[in-house]
Amino acid sequence: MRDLATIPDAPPADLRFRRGISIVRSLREVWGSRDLVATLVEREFRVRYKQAALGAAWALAQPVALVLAFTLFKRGSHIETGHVAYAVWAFLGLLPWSLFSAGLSQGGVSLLSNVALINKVYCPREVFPVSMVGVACGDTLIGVLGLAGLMIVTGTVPQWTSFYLVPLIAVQLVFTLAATLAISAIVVHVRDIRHVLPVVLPVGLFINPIAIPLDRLVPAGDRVLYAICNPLGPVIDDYRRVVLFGQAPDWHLLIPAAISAVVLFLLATHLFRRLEVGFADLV
Amino acid sequence: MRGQTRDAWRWALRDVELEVAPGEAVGLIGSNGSGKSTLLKLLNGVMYPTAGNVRVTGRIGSLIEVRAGIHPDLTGRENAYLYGSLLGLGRKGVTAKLDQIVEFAQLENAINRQVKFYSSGMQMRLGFAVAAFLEPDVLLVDEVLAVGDASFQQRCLQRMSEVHASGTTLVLVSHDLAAVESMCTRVLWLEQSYLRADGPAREVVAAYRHAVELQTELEADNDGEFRISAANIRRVDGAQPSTYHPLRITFSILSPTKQDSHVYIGVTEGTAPSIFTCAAQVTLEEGVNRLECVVDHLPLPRGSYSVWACATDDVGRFDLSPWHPIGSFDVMGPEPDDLPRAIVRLSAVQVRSTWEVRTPPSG
Repeated sequence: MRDLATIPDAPPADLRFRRGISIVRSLREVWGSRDLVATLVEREFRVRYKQAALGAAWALAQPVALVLAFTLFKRGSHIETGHVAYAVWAFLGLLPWSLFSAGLSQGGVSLLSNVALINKVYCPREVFPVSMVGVACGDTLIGVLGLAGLMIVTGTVPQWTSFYLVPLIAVQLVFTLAATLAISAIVVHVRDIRHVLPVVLPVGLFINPIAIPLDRLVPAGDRVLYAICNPLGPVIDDYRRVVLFGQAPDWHLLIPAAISAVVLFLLATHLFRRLEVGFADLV
Repeated sequence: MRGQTRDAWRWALRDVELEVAPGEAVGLIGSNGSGKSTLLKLLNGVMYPTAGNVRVTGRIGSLIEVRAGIHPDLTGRENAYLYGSLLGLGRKGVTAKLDQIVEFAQLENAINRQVKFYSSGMQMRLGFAVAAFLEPDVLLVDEVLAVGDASFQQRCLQRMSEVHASGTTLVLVSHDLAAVESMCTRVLWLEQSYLRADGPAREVVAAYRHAVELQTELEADNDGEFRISAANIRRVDGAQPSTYHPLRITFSILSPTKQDSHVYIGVTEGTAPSIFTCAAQVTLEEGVNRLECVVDHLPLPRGSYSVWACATDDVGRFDLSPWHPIGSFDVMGPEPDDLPRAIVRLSAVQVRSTWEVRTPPSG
C-alpha cells in the first residue's frame, strides 16, 4: 500500500475505465448463452402457467378480445378485406403487434425484475430482455394456433406465397429485439419509462395497420418514411399480403423497413453495452 | 471503483493492485464495508470499475449468495438447471452431474418439490451443490458458509479443497478466519477500501486478529479516561518489520471528548530517549479513534525496538497521556557485514546512501 497522501482524489484520466464495445463480440456472447436464454424462457412459462387452470390458453385471451372489439366497432366504416373474413384479417395483423408489445413491455422491465441475478452472477445481460422476447414468441405461437383454428372455421386457406413469411418474421424479430434491448437498458437509468410504457404502448394499436389497412392509415407519399420510422407497419401489411392474398411483400416498403430495423438493432446493441456498465450500481 | 449516489459517494476500493496466479488460493478478509464483496464483484464481471482495469482469464464460477437465482415456484430440479445455465454449465452439463449435485446437497427426497417448500438450508445447499460441480478455472466464493449446519460447512470446505486441488484458482471471502487460514495460502486484508496487507495466510490473519483485538480491547475497557492502546507494528504489506521497508504503526486512542491534540510516537531501543519521533496534529472524535503512522523507509538496523507514545492538547501544554511504551517489535535486516562490523552494529540508524567518488585525474 502506498502512502495515502500520495493517492489523488480523482483517478487520472488515463486510468478511467472505458469499456471496449464490440457488437460482434456482444452478439457472440449472447449466442453462447442460448442455453441460458432457453432456460429463462422455460422458467417464465412454467412460473406463469403453473397455477393457472387454463394454462397457456390464456395467451389467446388478449388477441381474441381485441379482435372481437375491432369487429364490433368496425360496423359503419367499410374495410375492404376481399374474400377474407375481417376477423381473420384483423387477427393476423394483431399477432405481430402482440409479439412486439409483449416483448417490449415484459422485456423492458426484465433487468429490473432480475436484480437478484444481475447483482450476483455474471452473464451477458442481454439474455434477460432477449429471453422475454422469446417468451413473447412462445405466446405468439399459441396465437398462431388460435389463428389456424379461426382460418379453419372461416374456411380461409393460406396462400402459396406464405414462404415470404421467413424474411417478414426476421425483420419483425430484429425490430422487436432492437426496441426491447434499448428500452430495457434505458429503464434501468430512467425508471420513469417503466410507467410511461403501459401508457404509450396501446397507441401502437392505432399507428399500425392492425384494425384498418395500411393504405387507409398512411397517405401514399409518406409510406417510405413511415416504413423507416416504424418497420413493424409494413411488416404487418405484408403478412396479410403473403398469407391471405397470395401477393409478394411490398418490397418498396419492406426493404427500407428491413434496413431501418437492422440499423436500429445495431444501435440498440451498442447502447445496451454502453449503459450496462452502470447496471450493477443502479439496479 | 465507487458506489455512487447523487451527492454523497465514496470509494469502495482504491489503489488496489494485485495479481493472482493460476492455482492460487487467496483469502479476502476485512471488516464489514471494507470492499471485499465489491472486489469480488469486479472480478466476477458483475460490476465495472470507475477507474482501472480488471482482467480475469478462464471461466469464472461464482458462489455469491447462492439463493439469488432460485425461483420459489420451480422445483429443485428446475432450479438446478436454471442455476447451472446461469453459471455457464449448460443444460447438458447439469444433466450429466445432476445425480452428484443432488447427492451432495442431500436433496434426494426433495428435488422434485417446489423450492418454496424448502428450508433456507436446503436452498443454500442446492445452490452450493450446483456451483461446486461447475469445475471453473476461477472460483469466487463470498461468505456462503454462513448458512448451513456445521456438517454441511465442513463438506463445503472439503469440496472447495478438492476443487482447488484439481487446479482451480480460488478466491474466498470470509469472516471465518480459521477457514481462510486453512483453505488459503495467501490472504489479502482490505480495510476501508484500501489493500492493507497482502501476504502469507498465517501472517496476515495474525495481524488482522491482532488489530481487531486492539480495537475491541479499548472498546470493552471504555471507562471515559483518555487512553492510548497497545500498538500493532508491521510492515505495510503485513510482514515482519525489516530495514528500509515501509513500516506501519497502528494504535487506537480512546478520547472522552472531541478535541484537537498533538500525538507523538517515538521508536526507542527500549528506554525513553527516541531514535526518531513522528508527530501529528489530529482532531480526535469522542470514542475510539484509530491512528496509523507509516514510516516510509525504516532506517533501523536489525534488532529489537520499542514504540513509545504520548499525547498533549492542541497547544501542547497539557499532557493528555504521558510518554509511555505501547509496543515493541523486531527488525529483520541485512547482516551488517561490512568490515568494521562493530562500528556499524553500534550505529543507531541505518540509512541508504549513494556515493560518488571523484578521483583526481590520473597522470
